[in-house]
Amino acid sequence: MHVYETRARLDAELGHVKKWMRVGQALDIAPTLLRDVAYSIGDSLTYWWDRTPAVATPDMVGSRRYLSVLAPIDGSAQVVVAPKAELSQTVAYSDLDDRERFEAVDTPVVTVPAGGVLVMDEDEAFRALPDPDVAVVVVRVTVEGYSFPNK
Amino acid sequence: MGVINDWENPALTNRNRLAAHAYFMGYATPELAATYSRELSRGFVQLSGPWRFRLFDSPRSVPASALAICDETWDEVEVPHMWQVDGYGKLAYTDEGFPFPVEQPLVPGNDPTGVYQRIVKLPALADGSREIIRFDGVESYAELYVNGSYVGMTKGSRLSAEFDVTEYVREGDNLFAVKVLQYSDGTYIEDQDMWWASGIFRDVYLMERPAARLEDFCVRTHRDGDAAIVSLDVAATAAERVVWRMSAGGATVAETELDLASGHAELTIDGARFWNPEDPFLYDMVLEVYGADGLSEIVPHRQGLCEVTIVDGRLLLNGTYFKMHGVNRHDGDDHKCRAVGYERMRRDVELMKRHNINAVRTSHYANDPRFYELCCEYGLMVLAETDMESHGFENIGNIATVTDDPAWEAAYVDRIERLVMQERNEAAIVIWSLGNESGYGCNIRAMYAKAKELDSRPVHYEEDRNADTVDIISTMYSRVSQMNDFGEHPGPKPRINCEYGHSMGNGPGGLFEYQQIFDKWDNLQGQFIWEWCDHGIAATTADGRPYHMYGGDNGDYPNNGNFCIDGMVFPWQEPSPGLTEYKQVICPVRVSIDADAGMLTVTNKRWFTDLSDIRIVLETLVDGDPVASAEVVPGAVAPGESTTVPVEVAAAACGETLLTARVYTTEAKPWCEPMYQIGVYQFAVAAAAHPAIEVPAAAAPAVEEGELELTVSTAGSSLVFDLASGEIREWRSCGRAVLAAPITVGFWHPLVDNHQQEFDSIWQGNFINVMQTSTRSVTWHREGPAVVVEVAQRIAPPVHAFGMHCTLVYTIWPSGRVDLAVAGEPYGDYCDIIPRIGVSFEVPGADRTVEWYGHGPGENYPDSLRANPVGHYRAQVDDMFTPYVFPQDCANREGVRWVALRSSHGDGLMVTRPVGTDPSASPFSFSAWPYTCEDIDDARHSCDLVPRDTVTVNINDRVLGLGSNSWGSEVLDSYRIRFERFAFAFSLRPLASADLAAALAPIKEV
Repeated sequence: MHVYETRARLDAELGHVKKWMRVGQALDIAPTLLRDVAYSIGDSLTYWWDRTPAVATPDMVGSRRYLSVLAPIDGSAQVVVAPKAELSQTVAYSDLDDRERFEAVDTPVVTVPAGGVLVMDEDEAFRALPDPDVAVVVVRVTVEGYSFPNK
Repeated sequence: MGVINDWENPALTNRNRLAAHAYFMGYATPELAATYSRELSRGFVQLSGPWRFRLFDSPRSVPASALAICDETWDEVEVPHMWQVDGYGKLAYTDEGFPFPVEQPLVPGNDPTGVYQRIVKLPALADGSREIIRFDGVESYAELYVNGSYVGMTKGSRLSAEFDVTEYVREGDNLFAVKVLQYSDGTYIEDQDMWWASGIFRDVYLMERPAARLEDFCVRTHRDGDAAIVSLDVAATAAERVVWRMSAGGATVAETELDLASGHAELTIDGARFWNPEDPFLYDMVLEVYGADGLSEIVPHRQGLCEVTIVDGRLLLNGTYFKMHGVNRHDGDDHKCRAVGYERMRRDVELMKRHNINAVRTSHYANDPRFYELCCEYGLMVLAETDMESHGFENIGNIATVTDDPAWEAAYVDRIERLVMQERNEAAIVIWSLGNESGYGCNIRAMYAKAKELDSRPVHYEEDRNADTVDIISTMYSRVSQMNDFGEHPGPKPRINCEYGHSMGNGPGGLFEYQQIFDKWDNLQGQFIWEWCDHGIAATTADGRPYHMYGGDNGDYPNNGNFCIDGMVFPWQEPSPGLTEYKQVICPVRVSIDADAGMLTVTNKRWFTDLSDIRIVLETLVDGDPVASAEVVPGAVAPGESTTVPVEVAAAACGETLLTARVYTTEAKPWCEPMYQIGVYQFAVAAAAHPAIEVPAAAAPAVEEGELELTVSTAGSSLVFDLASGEIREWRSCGRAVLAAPITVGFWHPLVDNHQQEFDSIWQGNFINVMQTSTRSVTWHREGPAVVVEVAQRIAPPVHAFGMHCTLVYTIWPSGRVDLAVAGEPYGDYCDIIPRIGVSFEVPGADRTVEWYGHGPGENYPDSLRANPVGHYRAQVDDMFTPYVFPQDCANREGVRWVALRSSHGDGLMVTRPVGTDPSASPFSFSAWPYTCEDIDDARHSCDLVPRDTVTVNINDRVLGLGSNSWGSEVLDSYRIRFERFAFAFSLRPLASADLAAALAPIKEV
C-alpha cells in the first residue's frame, strides 16, 4: 500500500511509466465525466468516480490482476487496508471480476487527503469507509509491468 | 511545391465519378428481374477476366500510348487480382507502419503503377441510354481511359466507383485502359493491418441504364406493433410512373405508386415478418419504372424489414433487445489475397452461421456489395465499417495527425457517404462504423454528421473512446474483469467490445469467461473476435513443399512477421480449434442440470426465435463410453426463457458416469443440414472408484548393477538406467522397445503466439526455454516386491541463480509396470509463470495410434476446452498435429484419465495416474507429436517440419492456459501455473497386445 499525499508525488515517482501516466490522465478527467460510469484508457485501466458511501463495501476486497487506486476529490477518505494473508477469505477469487473477498476488519485505517492517491498492492485487500462522505475516483490499473504494448 | 498530383491531394476525392447511390441492377422484364441474376440485368457486361497488364516503375513512367493503344505484347492477368500476388512487384506486410517515408499527402515518386487494357465489344446504345462502368474495388488510385480519352479518377480502394462512359464508347471494339497507382494520399487513411497489395481486386462490369431509369432509392422501416410502416424515396430520370410492390412467396402484400414530385411513398404491411438474424426473411421488392414508352425497367431488391433504435441506452432491433456475438472479417483468400470471390464470401458466411456467430464487423473497410446481400440472406448482423484507418501516424507520435486536420475532411466524409448511400437498404446492417484506429478529431465528427444525415442507424467508432460523438461506446481488447467494470458501472449508451480474443496461432483461451460477462450485463451488446481468417498466402518452396507466407517472406522490411496469421479460420478456409471453442461458448441454447433434483434446464439465449427446432440428445457415458441415450424436446421456449425437463441418469455402480447433452437444430437452412449440432454440454454424475484388485506379485524384479548401468528385469521386460544421468537408456517389453528416448522433466513447450509477450518479457531473459538438467545422484533399493530407483536432479537455466531441485522416483513392479513420482522444490527468486509442469519422452514411430479417455476429440487447453467433452477417443498422431501456419505447441488434450500410444497391433505404452488415485479427480494432460519440441520451436513455416520416425509424448501434470495475449488478454489467474513447489505421479504400463482391459485394471501387486 502506498499513499501519495499529492498527485505531484505520484507523478514524480511513477509518472514515467505508461500505465501510471494513464492513471494520472484518468484522475484528471474523471471528475468531468458522469458519476458511477466506468471508462477506460487503453488496456491499462478502468476508472469511475462516486461518493464513498457508494464505493464502500461491508467486507474486504482484494484483486490479483489489477491494482486498486483510490483518489479522493473533495475531502479526506478513510480506507481500511490489510494484507490478504492476515484475513479470512469469504468468497474465492474469480477471474470474472478479479476479486476475492475477506471478512471485514476495522484496522488499520489509512487516511487519504483530497488530491492524494492511495494504491493498494496485489497482496492486500481493502474496504473504503462510507464516512466521511467524499467524492473519490476509483482506478483499476493492470499489474502488468513488463514491456507489453498498449497497456 | 509545384504541380499537385491528383494522387497526392486529399481534397480531391475523384474526377467525374458518379454520385454514390444504392447498389442495384435494372432488368428489362419482370421475369428477368425475378432471377436477381446480375448477369441477366440490362446490358450487363462482365469485365472480370483476362486483361492485358504491365507494371511501370512510377506514374511518370507510363507513356500516353499505354492508355490509348492496345498492346498485345503485354502480359495477361486475371482480374480481379492483386498484382503482387501474381508476381508483379513485392508483397509486403506491416501491421500499422507505413511502408514508405511519412510526409502526407505525398507518396513515393517511384509509386508502382499498373496499367490494364481490355478490348470490349459493345453494341450500339439505345437512344437515351447510358453506359456505366462500375469498379467494386481498385487499390489505391485509378484513372480510367476509354478509347484513349481520360474519363475520370477515383480513390477509396474498397469502395465502389461508377463512371458514365456513354460519350466515350462506340459500337464495336472499345479499348478500356485503367491506370492504377499502388499508393496515393488515400493510402494514409487505408493503413489497415494487412498485406500491402494493389490492383483491380473486385469485379468490374458494364451496365446499360435506359432513358427512363431509377437513379437511387432508399427504404426505411418503422415498426408499429405487428405492422411495418415502410417508406421509400427514389430519384429517377425521365420516369413518368414508378410502381412499388412488396411480395412474399409470390404474393403481393403491398403495392403503391410513388408521387413523382416528391419521389416518396409509404406502405403499411400488417402482420409483417421483420428481418432478424435468426429469421432472415426478405420480401421481394420491385420498383417498376415507366417512361414515355411504357415500362422501362424493373429494379428488384430483396428487402428485409428492419429498424434499429436506441432506447434508454439499449440497442433494439425491431423493438427487441439483442446482443451481437461476432467476428471481425477482413477480405482474405490464400491464393488471391483481398481479391475474394463470391463463393469464398459465401463460405465465410456459412461458416459463421455454422459456428453460432450472429454478427460480423467488416474490418476495416467496405466490402463487395454482394457480401451485405449474403448477410441479409443468411442472417448476420453487420457492423458496417468504412474504408478508413490512419494507424501508421501513431509511429510519428500522433495517430490523429490527419484525422484532426480539416484539410482531410473531404477524404474522410467521402468514405462514409459512399458506404451509407450504397448499402443503407440492406436490413442486415445494424450499425455504421466510421473506421478504425485513427485517433479522434474533427473529421470523425464530420463523418458522423454525414452518416446521420443519410441514415438513422447508430454509428460506431472505437477511438471516440467515451462516445462523445458516436452512438455506441466501444473498446478493444478490454479484459474480462474490465468488461465487468463496464457492466457494473454502465454509461448512457450501449457498449460493445469491437475486438477481443486475438486468435493468433493457438488460441484464444479464456473465451468462456469473457462470455459469462458479456451475457451478464445488459449494456454490453456485442463482442467481435479478432479476427476471422489468417492472411497467409499460399506458396511453395523450390523443392515443392507447400506453406503459407506472412510478413518478411518476400524480403519485405520492415515487417510484422506472422502478426497477420491471427484468424479463427486457417488460410485454406477451415475452422481452427479456436473457432470450435467460440461456437460452443456462444451456443444460443444453454443446458444445465440439477443432478439432485433430476432436472435438466434448457435456456433460450436467442433473441428473436423460440426453440421449436431444438432437440437435445442425452448420452450417458460410463468410463467414457456411451451406455444409454435419451432425447429431450424443449418445445417453443421463448427467447430469454427456460424450461425444465426431468431426466433420469443411472449412475454406474463402478466407474465414472458422465452425462453429455448434444444440442441439435432440426431445421434445414441454407447453412446447415437438419440435425446439425450447435452445441454440447457435459455434466459429472458420479464417480465410483474401481476397487483395486490385489494379486500376488510375480517374482521380484532382478537387478544387475554395473559400473555405468543399472538393469532391472521382470518376467517380460527390462529397463536399463544410466547411473550417471538417471535416465532410462532402454526399456524393452515383450521383445519390443517401449521408449525411443528417455523420460525427462520439463517446464517448457514450443512457444505459442499467445505467449510471445510473456516470452519477450519474462521467459527469454530468464532462459526458461533452455533450462539445463544436472543429475546429482542415482540410487536404488528394494521396497516390497518392487525395485525403486531414485534420481536427484537440478533443472535450472544458465546465467541465473534459480532453478528447481527435482526427485524422480521410479518404482518398477514385478508386472513390468513403472510408477514415476516427481517432486520439485524451487530455489532462487523466480516464481513467475511457466508453460507446463510435466514429463516428456519418445516412443517408437510405430506407436502412432493414440487412444485416450479425456477431453476431445479436438485439441484443447485448460482455458479452451468447452467444445471438447470428456470421452473415449482414438486418433493418429499425425492427424492430431494442428497445422498452424507458424508452427507452435499444439495437440494438447486436457482432463485425461488415461492415454495409450500403440502400434497397429496394439502393443505400446499406456499412461495413467497410479493405482489408488481417482482419475476423474486428478486428470492430466497429454500431447503427442511426430516432431520434437525443438523441431517445432525452430520451424517458421509448416514446411520446415519433417516428421521423425519416433513420436514425442508429453505427459503434463499442469499446462498454462493460452490466453490471447498475442494482443490482448493475459492468461487468466486461474489458468496460470508458476515455477513453484510441485509433486505428481504417473503410472506407465507397457502394452503387449490390443487388450486394454488388463492395463486399465487397477491391479495392486502385493
